[in-house]
Amino acid sequence: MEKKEQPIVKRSLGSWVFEGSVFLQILLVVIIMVTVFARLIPLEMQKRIINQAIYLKKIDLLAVYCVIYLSSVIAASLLKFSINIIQTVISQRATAAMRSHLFQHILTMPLDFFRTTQPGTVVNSLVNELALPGNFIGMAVAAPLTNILTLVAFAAYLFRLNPLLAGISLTIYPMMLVVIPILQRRVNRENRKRVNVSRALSSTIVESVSGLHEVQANGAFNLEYRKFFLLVDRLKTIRIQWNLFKSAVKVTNNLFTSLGPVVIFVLGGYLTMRGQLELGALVAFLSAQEKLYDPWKELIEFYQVYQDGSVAYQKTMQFYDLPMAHRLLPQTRAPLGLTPAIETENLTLEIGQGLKLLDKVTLNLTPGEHLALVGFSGSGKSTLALCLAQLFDYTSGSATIGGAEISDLTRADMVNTMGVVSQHPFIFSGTIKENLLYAHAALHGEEGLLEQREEPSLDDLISVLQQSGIFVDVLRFGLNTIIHPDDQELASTIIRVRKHFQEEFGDKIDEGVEFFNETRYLNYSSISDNIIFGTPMDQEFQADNLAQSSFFLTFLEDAGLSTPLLTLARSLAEQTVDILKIFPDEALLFEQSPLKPEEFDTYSTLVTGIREKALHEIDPAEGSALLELVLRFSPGRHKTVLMPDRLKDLVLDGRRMFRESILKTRPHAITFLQKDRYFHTHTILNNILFGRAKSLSTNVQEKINQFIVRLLVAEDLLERVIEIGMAFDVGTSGNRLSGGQQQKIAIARAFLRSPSILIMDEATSALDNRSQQRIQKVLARNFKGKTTLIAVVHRLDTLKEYDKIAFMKSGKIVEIGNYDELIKQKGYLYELIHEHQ
Amino acid sequence: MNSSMNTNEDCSEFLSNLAVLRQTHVFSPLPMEAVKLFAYLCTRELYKQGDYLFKAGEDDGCSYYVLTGSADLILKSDGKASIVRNYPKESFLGALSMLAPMPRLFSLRAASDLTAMVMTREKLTRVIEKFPELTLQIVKAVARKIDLSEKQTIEHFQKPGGDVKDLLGSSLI
Repeated sequence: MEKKEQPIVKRSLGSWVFEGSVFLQILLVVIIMVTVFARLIPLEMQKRIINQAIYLKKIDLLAVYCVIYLSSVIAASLLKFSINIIQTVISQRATAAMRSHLFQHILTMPLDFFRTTQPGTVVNSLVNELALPGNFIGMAVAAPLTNILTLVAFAAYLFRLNPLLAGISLTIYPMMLVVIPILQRRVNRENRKRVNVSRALSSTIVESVSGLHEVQANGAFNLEYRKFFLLVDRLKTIRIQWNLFKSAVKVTNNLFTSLGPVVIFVLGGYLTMRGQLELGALVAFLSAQEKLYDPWKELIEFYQVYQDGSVAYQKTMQFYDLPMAHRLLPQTRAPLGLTPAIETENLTLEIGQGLKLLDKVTLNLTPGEHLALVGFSGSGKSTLALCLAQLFDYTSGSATIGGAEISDLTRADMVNTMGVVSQHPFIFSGTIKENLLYAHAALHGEEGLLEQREEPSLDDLISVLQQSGIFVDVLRFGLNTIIHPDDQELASTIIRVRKHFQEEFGDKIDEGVEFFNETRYLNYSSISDNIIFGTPMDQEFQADNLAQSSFFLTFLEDAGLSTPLLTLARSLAEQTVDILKIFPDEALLFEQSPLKPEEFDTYSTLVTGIREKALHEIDPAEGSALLELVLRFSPGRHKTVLMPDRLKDLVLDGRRMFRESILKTRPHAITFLQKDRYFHTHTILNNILFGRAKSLSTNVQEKINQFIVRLLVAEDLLERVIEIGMAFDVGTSGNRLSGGQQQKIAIARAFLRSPSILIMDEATSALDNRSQQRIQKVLARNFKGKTTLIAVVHRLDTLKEYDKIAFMKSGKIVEIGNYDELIKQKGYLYELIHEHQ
Repeated sequence: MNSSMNTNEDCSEFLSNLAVLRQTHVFSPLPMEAVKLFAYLCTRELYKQGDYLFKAGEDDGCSYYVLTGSADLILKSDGKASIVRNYPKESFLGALSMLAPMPRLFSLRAASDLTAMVMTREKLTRVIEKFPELTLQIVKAVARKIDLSEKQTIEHFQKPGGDVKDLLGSSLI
């Protein structure tokens, strides 16, 4: 992007025609030439067949001409096909190039722009709107060239046959050029009217329906009906007129083109009779005349595509035509490693009409100094922080980092020096580790802005996980992972941990854990786990395949479980779909149901399908899907339906029956649960506990973790589990994480870079007290004197830790100093603190 | 409140949660579809006598409905802890802390073994992000409750010999 290239938003539509497709466009021109020639051959053959073969009764000539005719028709079709393919490739290439260039441009646009622009608009621009100009690019060379050449070739051929006849029959086209646009304008006018009236009609319907209770209460049926009828009636008239003009365009077009043969018959017939025109020539004339219509039509269509495409293109590009805020990389020097001293003088940000978000802010921070920005919402503290991060542009005054004016620096200089944690940090889809390394990858990764560097070590990662307080969460993610069945070494270590756990803590947490017990129904395990009660060694008995296993289905039937399970499954599916239907794309909310987010549509359709059916009418495919769902159901965790106690007893009986029958027929298919075996379908945590935690609440989990961490450390397993936990997939935009976890990851991400300037914009607002204090401690201990910190602070109890506190009001710093000074002054801060107490 | 509040044989936890929420001031004015979602998202937690549901200074971000047992509200001042009041079975508290981060000013301790229905700010926020129109309805419900609480305060104030302690706890609305 640093090349001297015209920004995409300034480029004309035409400039894309040859972008990356010069060779293809030239190839296209060549093929078109050949095609047009190939199209002319049948005309000539027609003439010769009649004049030479038929007239002179020469069979051999007839055969030769017919073969040539046939081959040229086939050749023309094949060529047309290849033209279409090339056109499509050109069009798609151009669309892809426009999309990626525009996206690249959008990524660098000022943040301000996106405050007033919805993400949906950007999506629409990139996905839909650029398709139309893309279509045009594909046609830009091929369509006019083919059709004009064809027109010219046919016209020339006609003139060669008979100039007078050709001249007269071609006069029709200029006449069409006058009449059709007049009609088309009427079509457009009626179409616009139609859109307006349709909108009015829709809003009338919406109003009547949403106010129906009022309508019925007042008996205002006729009143509403009249409003509706007037509009419907108008719409009817407009639609009739619209269709009338549309047909008129078609009819006129057809009429004029059909007039051609009439002219030819009248004049050509007369000339032929007079012997001035051969019969064959007359036939050729008629065919050529008819064939003029297609290129003509295509030219008109091309004109429309051009109009639509260029309007869409211009609108899109104009919308994004804002200058890039800052250059990405410096052109003549390496990115600077700036001294983290910050100075501002009369820094002002004015946003029109004299409204100042920042008003003459003057500030001075030496390297390693920590500044807290305090003030009410809207006082400008975040704006100041973001201006210093170059994310907002100030309008006057100066702000420097290490003596360099911020507005003159490139993005590379900034990110090289500075880390920013925003109030609503963004977490990208991928793993926790990828998110931690996001900043590293952006700077020093394979496609990074700066030189490539090695990734931070596991120790570095673990240390920032601890500093930011996300360590416990990552540990939990790790413990809740199902390990790969081949990892025998890990499995045997975990079994050792299990033993120690039971020896030392087994009795201390029995209330929070449901231990695996062969003689009890396990409320916190799935129905399939309750039946199988072991690790399936055979694919057939894996949880996902059970519903298809004929062995298992027969067993369910024999154990009398089929019908009760199906009954439960049905209400489970109905209830779950009903609750989640308004929320089918939020992964976090599916955790309390046996349904996975990606399955929602399937089960939603299924529930609609079986609504009217009796249990025995449910077809096998539906039954199997329902069974799959209910086998995942565990009554302790999924609360939408109640599992009757007698069904639990039945499942418990089933467990014994299943074991007997497996041991008899397929003794190696399942490894039954034993205290010295690893349970591969369960998480690490369940394996250590030899049971399941009853609650997912942090209280209970924390209690369990306390015990487990010590054992993991003893077995040297903690780092391994953390590594596994860092592979946790955070979901789209991090939606499988809580707000607090997202903030902690953002903080860890910034800490990992250990930047020389750190900006934290209410970065801990979603964290609990303990986590906030931990982070505050890290900042004070590890960062003071090394990293210059600017923190927008929302909790007053942390203020004492800062070297300077700036109190902001209406975009101005109204007082600045250390905590004791400001308290002594009894100014704004003093008041704010006392108000809080 | 009727006996369906407790988990019993013929009613799922979800349905009994739903019945409870439909009688709380924050959730009852919301559209049925949303209340269902909240009923599904609520969890039930057990607390042993003496366990803390939350402690002063913590920002637990939860609202609680006491299903069984009761809880003491505790205020620490000058190093002395005193019980402000007891929240019996069927009390609902904590709507405000679901709306915005705020460290607790009091502690809440299980006076006996206690079961509570718990809704977190996190879950509420996720739902509200998708249905911003709920925000206004919840704010209205909370506003009405604040108004009501002030009226009670005025009544209490006008009564001779009222204890100022009884007026505490408006942050637990």
